[in-house]
Amino acid sequence: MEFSQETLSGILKKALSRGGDYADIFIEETVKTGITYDSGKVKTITSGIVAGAGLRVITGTDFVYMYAGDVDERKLLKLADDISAAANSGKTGVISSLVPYEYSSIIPVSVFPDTVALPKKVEIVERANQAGREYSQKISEVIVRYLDNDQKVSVATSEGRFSRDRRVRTRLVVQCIATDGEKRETGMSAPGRSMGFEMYDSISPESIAREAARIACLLLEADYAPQGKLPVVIDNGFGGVIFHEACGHALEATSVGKNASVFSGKLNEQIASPLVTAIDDGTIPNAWGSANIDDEAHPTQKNILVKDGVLVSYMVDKLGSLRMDHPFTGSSRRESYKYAPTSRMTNTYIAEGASSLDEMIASINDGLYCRNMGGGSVNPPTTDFNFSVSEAYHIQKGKIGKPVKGASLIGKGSEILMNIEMVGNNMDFGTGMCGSLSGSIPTNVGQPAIKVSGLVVGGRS
Amino acid sequence: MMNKDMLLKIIETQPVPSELYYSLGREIEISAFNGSINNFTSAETSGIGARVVQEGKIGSAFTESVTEHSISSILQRARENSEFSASDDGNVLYKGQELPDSEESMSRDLDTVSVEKKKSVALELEQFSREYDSRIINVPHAYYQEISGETGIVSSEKTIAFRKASLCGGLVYVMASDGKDTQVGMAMRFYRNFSGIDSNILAKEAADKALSKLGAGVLETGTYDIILNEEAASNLLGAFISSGASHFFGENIQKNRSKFKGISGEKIGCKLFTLIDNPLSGSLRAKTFDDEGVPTRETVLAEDGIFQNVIHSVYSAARSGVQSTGHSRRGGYSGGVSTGLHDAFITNGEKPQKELLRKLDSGVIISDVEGLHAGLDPVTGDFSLSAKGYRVSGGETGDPVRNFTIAGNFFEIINRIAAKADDRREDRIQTFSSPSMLIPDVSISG
Repeated sequence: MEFSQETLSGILKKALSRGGDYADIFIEETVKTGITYDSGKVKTITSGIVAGAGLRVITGTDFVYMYAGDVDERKLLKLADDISAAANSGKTGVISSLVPYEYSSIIPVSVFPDTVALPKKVEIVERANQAGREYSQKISEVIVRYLDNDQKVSVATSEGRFSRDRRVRTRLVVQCIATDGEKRETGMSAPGRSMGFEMYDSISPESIAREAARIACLLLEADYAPQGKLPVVIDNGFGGVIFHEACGHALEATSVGKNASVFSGKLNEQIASPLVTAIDDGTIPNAWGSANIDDEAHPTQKNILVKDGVLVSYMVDKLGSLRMDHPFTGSSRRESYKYAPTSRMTNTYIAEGASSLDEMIASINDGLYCRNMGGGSVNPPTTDFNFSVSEAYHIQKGKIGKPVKGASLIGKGSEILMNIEMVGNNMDFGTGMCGSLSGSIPTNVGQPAIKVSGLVVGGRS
Repeated sequence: MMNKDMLLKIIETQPVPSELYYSLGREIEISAFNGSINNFTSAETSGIGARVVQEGKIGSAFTESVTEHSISSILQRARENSEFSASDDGNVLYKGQELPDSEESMSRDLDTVSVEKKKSVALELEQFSREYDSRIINVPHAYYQEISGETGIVSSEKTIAFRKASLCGGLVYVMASDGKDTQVGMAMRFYRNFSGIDSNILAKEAADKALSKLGAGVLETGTYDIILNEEAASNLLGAFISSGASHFFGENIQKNRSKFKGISGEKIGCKLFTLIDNPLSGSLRAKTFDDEGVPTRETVLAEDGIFQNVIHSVYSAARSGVQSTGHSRRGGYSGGVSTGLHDAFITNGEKPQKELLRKLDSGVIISDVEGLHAGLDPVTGDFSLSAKGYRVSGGETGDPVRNFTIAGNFFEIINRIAAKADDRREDRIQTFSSPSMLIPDVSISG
């Protein structure tokens, strides 16, 4: 349901009627389709609509948030009345007239999910299943999840910002299990884009399945990873999860604004090797973490976070800017109307350097080459982080050797960033979901290959 | 119960076997920072998930609009979705019965406590943590939280099952610093009744965790005898036992994803590995029926290391031609139906953790394991996880250690429990709990 500018303006006024400096409203309608394919057949097909609104009033740096599903104008007014009673500071800030923000979309979609018949979507998962099984006789199982999301949002703020966005996302998650006697290993590949069904024109379901099958088969041949502090080459794409965990989270206003980040108060200081320039860019056309506007109706933007190792910007939302005296960076995001927004990453990456992957490998006598990574986590106050490796090889005497498995890499972000010794020239992105205070949101991680020393490799041999 | 009559009326008129899963949730979250309430969040939301089965094919759909019209349209959508699904012997709805409305999981006092009192919990959590020790330099998160709601399941196969539940609790996350080193500590506890919350205990727990890690050193790479404390053991073993990929689940056994295929009555662990799921203990996770309306009961998964019972949902039970054990889990109205444990645990040992330390003599006690969502492989049982803990020498806990990993295999661990303590926490909110346990010869990388 779409509400008029006048209605939204009235809601914001009512929300602030008993006091408060600022109010914003986020209205969402998201249509989702999910198909699960397992054991050679479609297991379930589900579809549904997430629809509701979240209303927020900020007074000083404190806020009240209320949300409700299935809203109509009457329910919104009730929500506004409830929130004004809870905020109730007595003093109301400036309420500006809403000015619509228009833009030309950076996430153009040619085939919207609701225009694609269900059998066409089922065909995608069947193609992936077949390609996975055909890759090798060792592939004993292919599990496929097809997902599409079509989210329409309207955001209006008492500062006068008002905009709508339509965010369409498509993702295919393929897991292949390879079996050899008693040995069983899993490989996964799961690209996603801010696109419609046309994603499959550029990324075929077969190629996704073959990549998952390749990793599963490779792991059958792998020994356990070595142990101890070793030099590591982390390749491009999802390898960027290292910056996401070791640094990215600790640059979000969510932690910086509460002095709960190791990088609080470190603007213009050297926090990383001079080889490192890192960027968070929510404007990359059709990228998984992109959007036209953030969830406070600011246009998304390209933010240079670290330039030549020097910290130049945090990622900042409205509350963060109040706490930190730092400009907005278009970084306000949330999973759905059920979460108040906060500062989050979008598409975050380390920019290209000059080294080649071969040079990096050749420079290492005994180390680890990580081709594919799994997920990770971090404590922003200490930057103690961890992430898992899903495809890796032992480097011996400057050459890539045998595949190894089962390692996690850990370290302290503030130290490891200084230990980035080489940055490659093969930049790429990987698709992820990032969980934090405002829920689980789509984010891209990215980097070219990098060489890092001082990481602890948590293997078993 | 709200909406019960409407749901029953709709389900009566369905042309094919159909099920409606209804839930209504109310949430209050209050957080304190720098001595004031910096966030108050409150909401009530509801939704309906529909499933239909036609010719052995299942389709589902959901909506957050709980009206007769919307529910009828998602039932229609579910029927359309089922047409493109595949037939499976497991796709059946539970042949149920009308169960009495369940209200035993309702808080006795939450509705009578004022908002001001709830706010004071968040404020106290922050204040008590800061006052506990001058080295507590920041309390980024101090929350009071309460969740209450209703769940209802009705089906054309005669299932009528409704329950109400509520609980409340607190979370506090603190930073400690000695000027050189910074460490964090978190405590989170939930209770059925507001009167059960003790801010002092939570603040002390979080602060002690952070303070005791200050000045942590490193460990040499090698093989160590370790104690997993109750929290680390619960988190690590729970990530295997209680995950969707659990080797104890019928569906995973049927689909060759479990090492426990066809081994009923065989040894899977050492003598100390006794694993029980008891949804009827009255704990925070207690449930008298599962998410398909099947009545629950105590199930022994393993006893003295011997495999006992496969865990079934209606789906996997039908595929095996047996009765469901009452372990269907649904990720809310929008989620799919899968298998899940309710309140599973490894039984306590007889002696306090102190005795375990004495028995260990020298080694490491692990207090934290991190990266559980990525650093383990539920299919093979392999894990490699970031950890924190303390050295143990002469049977006493010594200096803190950090920046190391522990690596091993779940199936090896359950065969090598050398001793377990009597300290399992029955008040965990998670679906699995374990006492502290002593495990010899674990790979540590530092």
